Amino acid sequence: MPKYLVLPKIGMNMEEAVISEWLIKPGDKVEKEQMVVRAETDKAVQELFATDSGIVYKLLVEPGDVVACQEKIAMLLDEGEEYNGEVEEKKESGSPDSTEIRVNKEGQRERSVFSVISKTGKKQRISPLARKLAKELNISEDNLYPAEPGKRIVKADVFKCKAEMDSCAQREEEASVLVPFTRTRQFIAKKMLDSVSHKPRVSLVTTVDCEKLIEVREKLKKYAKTGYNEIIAKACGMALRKYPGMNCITEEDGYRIMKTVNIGVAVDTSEGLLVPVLKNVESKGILKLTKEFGELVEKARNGALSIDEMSGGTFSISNVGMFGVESFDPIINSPECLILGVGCMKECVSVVRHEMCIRTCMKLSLSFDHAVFDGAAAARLLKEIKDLLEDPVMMLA
Amino acid sequence: MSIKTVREALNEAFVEEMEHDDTVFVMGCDNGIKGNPFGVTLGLAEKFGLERVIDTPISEPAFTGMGIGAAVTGMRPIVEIMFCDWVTLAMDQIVNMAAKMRYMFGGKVEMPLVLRVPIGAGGGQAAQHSQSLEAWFNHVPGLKVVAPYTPADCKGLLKAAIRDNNPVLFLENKRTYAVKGEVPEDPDYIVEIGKASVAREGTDITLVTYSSMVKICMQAAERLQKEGISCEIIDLRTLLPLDYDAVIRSLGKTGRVIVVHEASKRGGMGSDIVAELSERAFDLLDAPPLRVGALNIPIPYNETLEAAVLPDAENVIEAVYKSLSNG
Repeated sequence: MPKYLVLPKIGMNMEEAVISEWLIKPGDKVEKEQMVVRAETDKAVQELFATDSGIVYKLLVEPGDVVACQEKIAMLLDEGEEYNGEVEEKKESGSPDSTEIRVNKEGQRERSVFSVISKTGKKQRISPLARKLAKELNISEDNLYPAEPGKRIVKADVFKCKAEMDSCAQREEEASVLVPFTRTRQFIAKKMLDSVSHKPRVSLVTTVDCEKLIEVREKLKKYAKTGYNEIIAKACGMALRKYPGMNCITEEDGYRIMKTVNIGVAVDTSEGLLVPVLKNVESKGILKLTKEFGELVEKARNGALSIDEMSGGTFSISNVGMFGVESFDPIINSPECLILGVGCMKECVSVVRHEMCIRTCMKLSLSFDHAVFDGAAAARLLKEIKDLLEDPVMMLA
Repeated sequence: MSIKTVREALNEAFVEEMEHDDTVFVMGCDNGIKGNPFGVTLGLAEKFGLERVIDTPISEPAFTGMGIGAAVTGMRPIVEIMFCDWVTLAMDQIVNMAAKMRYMFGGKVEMPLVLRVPIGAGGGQAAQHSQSLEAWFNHVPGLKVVAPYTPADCKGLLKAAIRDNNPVLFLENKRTYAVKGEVPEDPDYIVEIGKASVAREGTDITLVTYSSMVKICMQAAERLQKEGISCEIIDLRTLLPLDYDAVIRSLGKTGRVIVVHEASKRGGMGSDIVAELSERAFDLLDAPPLRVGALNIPIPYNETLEAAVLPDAENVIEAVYKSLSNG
């Protein structure tokens, strides 16, 4: 009796594959599980195994053929077996099946229902009970397959699938912990997704020579615990004063230019990312900003920030330099249109007036909403910020 | 309890009911002096006299009509059609009179008629002495149809049929008269009409059957058990009204069902039961419901051919394999 190799279903979502290459030829002896054919599935070109053992009599599909899972791909015979019958050819799609008619005991011609169904498409048969159970257990019929190719899917197959899914889920559960989203996390997720899906973002990167910036900060430290964030915020405020048209937020039908520069500075807290907003940055001195920022960070860490203290921003700064990150392209805090990513300061080899020297530098990346600004405008803004930080005394100008 | 044959159990039911109620009487060809060809009414004439155990001329329509007349006028006749094959002659009386009169007179008359109709083939009795025509009566509103197998059920259901105020067709399988089993002695023992019994409990597949095929199904189940296939056998006992609750309960357990009867498959009880299950219990089916019955040809006289036509344990086993194959 001839036997057949069928295309094995090797993934839950695998429906069909394109035959790439046969690894066997007629006359070869194949063992069940041996790799026999290379085929391209949705995921990759993979070697697929034999579903039975025997001597290859004829290959029923050729490279390039699209074959559904469980469809016959090769005919096998037992060792020493002769076969003179007809070889089942691969069915051309659209052409009618040879209708299977057999004569039953009562002498009536019985037509196989399956041959009628398969004419109109490759419908997998499933018992009413199996269909009902699958529905009750929330198992898609696409994930079910019969114990043997060509058979009907029955109750036992549904339970087998269920058991596989359960053990899979159990393994996953044992190896991991599911943490439900907190309200804050949900809010952050929503804002991030909203920004990414609505704001075409471009990031521009530049390097800032920090020698003078470090000097200024050392001087300021005599008066207050000023950090680089406050100085950078001040520089951004000054730069935006030079380009007031960029101090804006987007609305439904356009963008609104804001009179005051309010800069949100990302703060890492145990509850997640919080962005307190420094108001009227353009009109405040660095020491004042230091004091205000210190208070806001304190509140952020204690979960005491008011809604007002976290809203109204026109620009944001995200500084991850303290973690050694050199450069990144932050996601814009919508409806704002600009965010500055600040990298770490580190010594690097610079060339100044044809001389190599070691300078402390940091990278700035400005992400901007390309729907609102063009690249040149953003580049001008970034250059202004860079210039102010490389020579902070110019902030007085 | 004591061990009795179906023949003895039926005879006991006659005696008890004739003693219990003077209006009960027996009528049919050779019922009196000879005790019927199968010995079922043996000894009744001596005990109750030929006035209550009447030998009739060979005219099924005449004595069936007599029975109907007696029933509507207050008697409880038990009429025998010696072979089911000849029930054709009395069809008008059964279908148009017995089954309809109570309805047409607005319930003003009762029809406490029992029509004993021996069915079944075997032993080379040929095409006119071998048929099982129960499906015809299943089609007729107004009748009850009973087809028991065990001696206890035969006795209990015959007594229930005699006490019933509706026309009851009581189908005995000729080849089961010698089947032995325990039979309760209690004179008030009856088996309710319309209730099936679980003849064998199982989990993999339900065999719905009745009469002589209970034995065939038991044999098949024994053999399948050795292969690890567990069959549940429902002995319907009553065909009309049919105990679908019992059948569906079993189907709910197994998800697979085969109806097995001796009558020819086409248009048989199996066709109706399978159709009913498809309507009522579609979502319980894990495989197409199957039927096993005799071939759709007359029963041959030649015993070898006859055996080939009738369903046997092998046919039941084949059907079980087919159902379990999910093919």
